[in-house]
Amino acid sequence: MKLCNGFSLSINHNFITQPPLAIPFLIIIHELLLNFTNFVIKFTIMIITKIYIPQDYLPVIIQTIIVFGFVGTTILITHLLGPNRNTKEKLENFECGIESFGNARSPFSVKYFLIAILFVLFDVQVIFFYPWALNLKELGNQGFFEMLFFLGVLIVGFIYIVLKDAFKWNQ
Amino acid sequence: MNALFLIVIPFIASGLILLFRKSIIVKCISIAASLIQLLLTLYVLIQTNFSQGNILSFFIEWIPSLGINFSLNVDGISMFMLVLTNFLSLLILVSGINREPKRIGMFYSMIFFTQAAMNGVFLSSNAILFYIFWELSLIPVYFMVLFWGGERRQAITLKFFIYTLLGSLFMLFAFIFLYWQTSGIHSFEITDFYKIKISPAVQNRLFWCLFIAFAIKIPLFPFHSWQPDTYTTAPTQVTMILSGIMLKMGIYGIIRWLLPIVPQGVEHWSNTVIILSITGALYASVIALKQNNIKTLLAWSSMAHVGIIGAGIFARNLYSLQGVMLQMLFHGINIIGLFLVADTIENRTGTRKISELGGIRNISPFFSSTFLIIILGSIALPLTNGFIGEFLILTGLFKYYSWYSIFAGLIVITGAVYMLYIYQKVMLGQTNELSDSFIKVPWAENIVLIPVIILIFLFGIYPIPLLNLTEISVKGLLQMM
Amino acid sequence: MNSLIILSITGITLLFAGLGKSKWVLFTIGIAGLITAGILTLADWGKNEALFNKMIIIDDYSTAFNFSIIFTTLMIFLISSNYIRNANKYLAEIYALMIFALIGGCIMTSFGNMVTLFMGIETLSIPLYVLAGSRKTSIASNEASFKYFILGSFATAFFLLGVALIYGASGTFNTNEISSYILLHQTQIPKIFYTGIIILIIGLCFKIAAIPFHFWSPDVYEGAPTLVTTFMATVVKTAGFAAIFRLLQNAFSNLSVYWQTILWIITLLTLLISALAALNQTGMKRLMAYSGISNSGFILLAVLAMNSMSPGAILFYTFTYALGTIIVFGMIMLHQEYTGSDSILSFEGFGRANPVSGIIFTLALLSLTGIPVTGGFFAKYYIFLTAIHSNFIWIVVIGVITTVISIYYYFKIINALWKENRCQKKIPLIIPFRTAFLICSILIILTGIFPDYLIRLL
Repeated sequence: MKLCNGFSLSINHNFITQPPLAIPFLIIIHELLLNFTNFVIKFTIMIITKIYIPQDYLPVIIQTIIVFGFVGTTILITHLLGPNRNTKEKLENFECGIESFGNARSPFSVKYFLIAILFVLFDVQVIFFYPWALNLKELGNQGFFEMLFFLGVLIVGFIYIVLKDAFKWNQ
Repeated sequence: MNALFLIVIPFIASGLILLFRKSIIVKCISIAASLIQLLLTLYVLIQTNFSQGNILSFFIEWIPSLGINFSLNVDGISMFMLVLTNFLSLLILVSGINREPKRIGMFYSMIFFTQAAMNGVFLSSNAILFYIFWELSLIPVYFMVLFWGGERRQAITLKFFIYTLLGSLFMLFAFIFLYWQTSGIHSFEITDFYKIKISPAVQNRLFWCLFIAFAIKIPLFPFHSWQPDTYTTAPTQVTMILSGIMLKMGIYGIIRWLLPIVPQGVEHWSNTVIILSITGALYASVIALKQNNIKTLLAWSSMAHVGIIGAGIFARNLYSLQGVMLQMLFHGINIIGLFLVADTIENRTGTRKISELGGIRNISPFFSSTFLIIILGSIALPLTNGFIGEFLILTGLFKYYSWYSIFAGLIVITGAVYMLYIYQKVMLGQTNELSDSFIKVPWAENIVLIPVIILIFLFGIYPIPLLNLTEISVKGLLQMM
Repeated sequence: MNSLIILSITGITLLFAGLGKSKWVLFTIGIAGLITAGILTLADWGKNEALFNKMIIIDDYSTAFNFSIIFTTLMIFLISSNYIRNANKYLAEIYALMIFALIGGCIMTSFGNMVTLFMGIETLSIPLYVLAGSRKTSIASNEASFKYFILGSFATAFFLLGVALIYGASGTFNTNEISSYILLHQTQIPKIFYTGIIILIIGLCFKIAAIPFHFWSPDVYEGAPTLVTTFMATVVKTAGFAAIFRLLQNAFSNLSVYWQTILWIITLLTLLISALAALNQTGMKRLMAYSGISNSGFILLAVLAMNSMSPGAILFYTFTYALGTIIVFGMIMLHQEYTGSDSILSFEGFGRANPVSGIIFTLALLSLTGIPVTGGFFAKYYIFLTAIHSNFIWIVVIGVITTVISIYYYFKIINALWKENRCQKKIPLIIPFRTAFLICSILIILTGIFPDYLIRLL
């Protein structure tokens, strides 16, 4: 992999040969970034617009303690309570005796990711329905038709996906 | 009669020539166009009476929102420069009459383009217009050297271009700065520039911004390092343009755009510049003494002469400025003659090395006599044109500060040394193998060399009309400072 | 506004048309859509309207820039025609994504609200992340896409943080309201507001690749397919500068003393470092990337000056720069297709083998350098005029020096073009290419001779 001056990234070759594998990875990073920025925005807005006294944070602290406590205790308890007798045979892959071969990280169907992504996409779009549904009466006719238009756009996208054969698993 | 014609005709010629491929047609058209251009210039010269202000002017709004107008103006100084440009262009075109560069149409077209741009430089009275023509004259020269030049032309052209553009960009910067200093509606007109009042401290800085551009073009001492290489590697006709005319753009620039605009800056720095010029001229003469390549030697000698002219401008009195004006023309005539001789020698014998030549006089006495006369003109012998110009400049320098004229005089003496040295080595002595191949000069070279000789004597004996032509404008200039 | 709708429809139509076989249909649809959008944009001239609760403001500024980027995209479509000849598999997607990115650009020039600006930036960027990686089998293209994506998201996050901080202080996203907030609370503006401005500027500087936020630019330019690089170098840059200027002028012009210091430093670094870095480049695309950064520096000068002449200067500069860049990248694309290399050495003798292309190429390079009588000269000149008007003398001197340095690398290419070299072959130009080159070179000369019409617009 060519390293360019000033900045270099080394990328696993798998990433190159099976590009779609990278996509969920990218999505996760993107989501994380968005979440992070959302958090920062909310937090700063909260701090700036109101003045909080320390007691206001008590629920948050309790929640944090409970979350971490729950995770910690469950892990600890399963380790303590569960039987733990490792033998050589048990650590082998299969008791029937076939030696393992190849790389476990072999690529598998791209279609799965494609559908996952499409799901995420449409799922996110559908979120718009919730606020719309709550305010449907106030929005009146105009709101109704606007949502129809929005649905129309979504359907155009859906038709495109179908025509593009994105849902055909065996091709 | 409109001043615009002087720019338009070469442009048209430049486009027209591109249509033809045959060498003979191209040459005929170019010489005809050049003759028309020269006659037109002379007609303008005769028609205009410079004591009654500017008659020939042209004004049209070009980019009003930026204060740029297409305004042309002729006064004594620019008229003089126009005559110089168009006359020398004709000589340069004729001198190439038995040379056959590749793609000759393109070559001549570019020469005309340069000529048009140079006419524009001398005519324009709007700063940005001046800058644009200044740059435009550079582009064809760049490509001519790049396409038809000699060894190492790639690197040399790049150096040449970067050098000159460095200067002109600083000039542009200074013009823009001045633009915002003009009162009322901002404008780039030179008349408005003359009215600006700037504090001396700013003038001192602006002086260098403007001066660098002109000094690089001339070239004066610390800014000269592009010159010998470029002169050597460029095709001879381009070298003639560069040394004969384009160099004068720098001097004209100083006279027109530097002296009256930042007078206090000039006052402050003139001593420095004179010292630089004279040092540079001495330095160039010393280097010229050691050269073996005729063209390089002539390049350095040109720099030495120009150094004196540079010193003459900054002495700023009537004598020196008159001398500068005359010397510009005379230097142009002489250097074209010299480069033509050098080119002829190279063309016939295949070498430019002084050490490899000798005894050409035995084969072609007429040629060597013409060479001698041009050399005498160039080293300022009395009764030749060089004497008039250099004498006036030295007088002016003497009036400014006597020691300067002594050092400047030294340059004239060293000039004689290396010039006569070439003559001795190349023309006199035993004829060797290389020189033996020097066949008799056909009429083509003589047709240029003979007018050059006539002019050397004519102006050496009777320079009064030229002096009269420039006197009023030079006096006006001195009043402005 | 109508042009945006037309563009969206064009984009969607392109996607569907891609299901068919014929590639020229795509080309025709794209061109037709762009021309219609361009005409509709021109029809908006002189209007001054605010849409969607002042989220989008259509005025002369946005109309001019929109037309400029739509026109540029049209030219890029024309030079994309060799993709059709090579039967690129994803042509419909490439075209559609380009149109969608263009929509983002149009939103960026006409925002009235920082949220709209953010939306524009994202609409512009996300298609570009994909486009950069559109040559799926090329490692370089994948690397470019990945790098662009990571750094682009990073910049976006920065931008958002800036927006949040400013919102926190002023309580509004609307640029004009922010401006009046500054006027009202001159003495008691909280510190986070200033921090917000810095972070906002940093986030935008990522997008326009100003030094020291430029690291992605050379690698991405080099790795991405040349067509996409052209798009990035022209449309993205124009839209980015239109946005940054509009934001700074509408929202923060009252605090100019404060941010001008920061921008001054960024401009200085951009001008100097890019010029020096470009000197040693051997690849054309990398060189053009650095030249692009250097040109960003010049445009930043106009942003920095922030006076009545700045919008005109930015428009003129970005437009002429785009014209030159399209020609240069078009030539690189053609050359790459035939020789497979984009190094400057491989261009030796290009001009002698193809005189017409050589002359056009030279003209474009002269314009990029800023030699009269090309549009590039007046662009640079106008920028200097603007900057000196606001008394930024020393940085203009630096600009002059970098122009001189830039001569070296541009003329190195010109020298290479006209070197004697027998190995070069003649490269035929297909008609769309000819049209694009012809239009661009004529416009370069026209803007060089009659710049007034363009300058007077804004």
